[in-house]
Amino acid sequence: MVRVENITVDEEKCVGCKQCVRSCPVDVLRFDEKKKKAYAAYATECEWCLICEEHCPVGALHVQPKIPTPVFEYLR
Amino acid sequence: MKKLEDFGTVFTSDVLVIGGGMAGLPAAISAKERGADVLLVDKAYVGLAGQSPRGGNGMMALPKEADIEKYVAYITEYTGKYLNDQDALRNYAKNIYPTIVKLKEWGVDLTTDANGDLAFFDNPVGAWSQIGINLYATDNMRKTAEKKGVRIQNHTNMVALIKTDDRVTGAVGYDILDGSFYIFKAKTVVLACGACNFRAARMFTNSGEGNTMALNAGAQMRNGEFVFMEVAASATGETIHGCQRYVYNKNGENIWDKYVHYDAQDVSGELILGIINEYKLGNEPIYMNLDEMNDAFKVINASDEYIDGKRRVFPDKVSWMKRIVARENEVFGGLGRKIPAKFTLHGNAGFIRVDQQFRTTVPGLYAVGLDTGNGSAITGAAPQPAGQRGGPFMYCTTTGRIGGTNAAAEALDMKAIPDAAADTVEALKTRFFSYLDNKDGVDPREIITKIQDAALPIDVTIRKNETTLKEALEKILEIKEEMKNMKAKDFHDLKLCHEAETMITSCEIMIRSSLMRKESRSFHFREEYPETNNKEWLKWVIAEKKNGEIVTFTEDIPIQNYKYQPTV
Repeated sequence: MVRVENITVDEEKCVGCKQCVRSCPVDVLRFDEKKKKAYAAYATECEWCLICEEHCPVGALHVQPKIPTPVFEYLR
Repeated sequence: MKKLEDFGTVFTSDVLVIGGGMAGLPAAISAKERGADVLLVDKAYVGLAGQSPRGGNGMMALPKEADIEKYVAYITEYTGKYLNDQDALRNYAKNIYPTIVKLKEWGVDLTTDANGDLAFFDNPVGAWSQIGINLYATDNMRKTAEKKGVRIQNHTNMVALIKTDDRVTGAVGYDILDGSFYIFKAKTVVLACGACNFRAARMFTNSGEGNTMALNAGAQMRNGEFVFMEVAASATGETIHGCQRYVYNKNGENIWDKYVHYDAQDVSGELILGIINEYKLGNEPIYMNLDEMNDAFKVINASDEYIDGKRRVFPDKVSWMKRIVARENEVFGGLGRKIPAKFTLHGNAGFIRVDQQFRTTVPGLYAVGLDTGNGSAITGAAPQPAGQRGGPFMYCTTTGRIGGTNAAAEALDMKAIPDAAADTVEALKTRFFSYLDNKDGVDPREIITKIQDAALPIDVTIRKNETTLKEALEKILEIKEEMKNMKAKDFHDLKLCHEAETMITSCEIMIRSSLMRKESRSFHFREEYPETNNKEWLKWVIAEKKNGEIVTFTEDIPIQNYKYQPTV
């Protein structure tokens, strides 16, 4: 079920607004209370819907998809 | 004497709504408008939780002057193939236009004309229309809900309903960030968890909590043998919405024209079974050809922001689509115009049986939205409201509004909330947290992959036979044993363990119901019984839990009481 290569959060850019954390339906992104930055805590469950990127006001997030999607092995 | 407070934080409300997406929000707002005190809980963040903020294209709609009876007749004959509860379908259809009006009132962006009045797009086929809706409709509704005083509890994963005698009087769950245990007491509970997709299709992430909580509380399931499939691009695993008419085999034959012999709009069982037949004939590759798409279908596919001067696609959706397409281009050069295609299980398997008021078979418990997509029998043998592009959006909002209103009315008629037994709550807490104590157990991700391996092959989901189903069931029962030893290193993993549990329960309902129905209809094809058998199978397959086991039986559809009957 792994659909992404990696997720990066540019800590220089991240303003700690948590919008990306709120936008993730599968709890991939979490907030580091010490650093006050978002981070990808459970990247392997990401579905690259990219809604987190859409909600980041400073473009600090980048999701790199993994292609092809392995779930298609189940179809035959 | 033990008290509920001994085991966690206790919340009290008239109505508890579980799931804050496209159905839960309308349910919560409607319940609040009816005068109830409402608490809305979601495992993610209400507003951007659920599936709809990853869709937001167009919504099936019936304008004020629509011919309701024409719609009911169409859905019964072609989509539901007479497994509908026709009275519930009619009641649903009547409630569609009032719901659209409400959505506008709740701050959702919908297509309007120059005067600001609701505006609709005609369909090339079918007895209904479409309306454009914005991507973040649920976030609009969240703001409205907050303004009206709906209380919202985020990142809370709900695991079980609690009962006092035979009545549901609340639910329990935990905070996925810090593990706090929560006990919710309510006069009525509304499930709106968005059904189960087995994490098969990308971005369709719901995992069957509603099915499972309802089943475990004693509720009946219905129409479990039907699960929805979609045509998808082989490369991305992503459904290419609206391209079902432009699917071809290696010889350039149009699959739709070859297999779908009625005036249909959206993906149907005939199309998916047709693609499987093409595999068997050796006619691969199967591909979608976007260049063949005609203008009429652009209404439902919506590649244009405006059609006839009316906004069809809203800016939030346009921005998001641009980002997705840019990323696809970056990673593998984009899909192009001729797209190699397979199909994927979309799931949306929501089995909870409800009546026209969206009451389940257990007192105090309601269910709305995709959790009832099968179980309401509104769309009969088509799981979720299939056959209608944007059907699930309309289904969720309308059923949410009806169910939320009724749940509030019932709650307001009740005097006191009888407490569930503290011992029961203590036992639930122990049982649901037990995976945290396992240090050397199996990773829930591994279990979820095994469930997918067992449940997703096409000979389990759509083109089935007794052997393949029994083999799948055997695998499922083995996984169920293995799952008892899952480990959770934190509360996020604990959530995954519980998602694995709810997925496997949904899967077992699907397989057992499929074994029961010995005929073929819509998305359920049995190789030994390839014909639709209206003589013996105008029946619903019902599933429920008896002595800890999922059992199935059939119930005759009261077809003689309904307006439409099959001719053969």
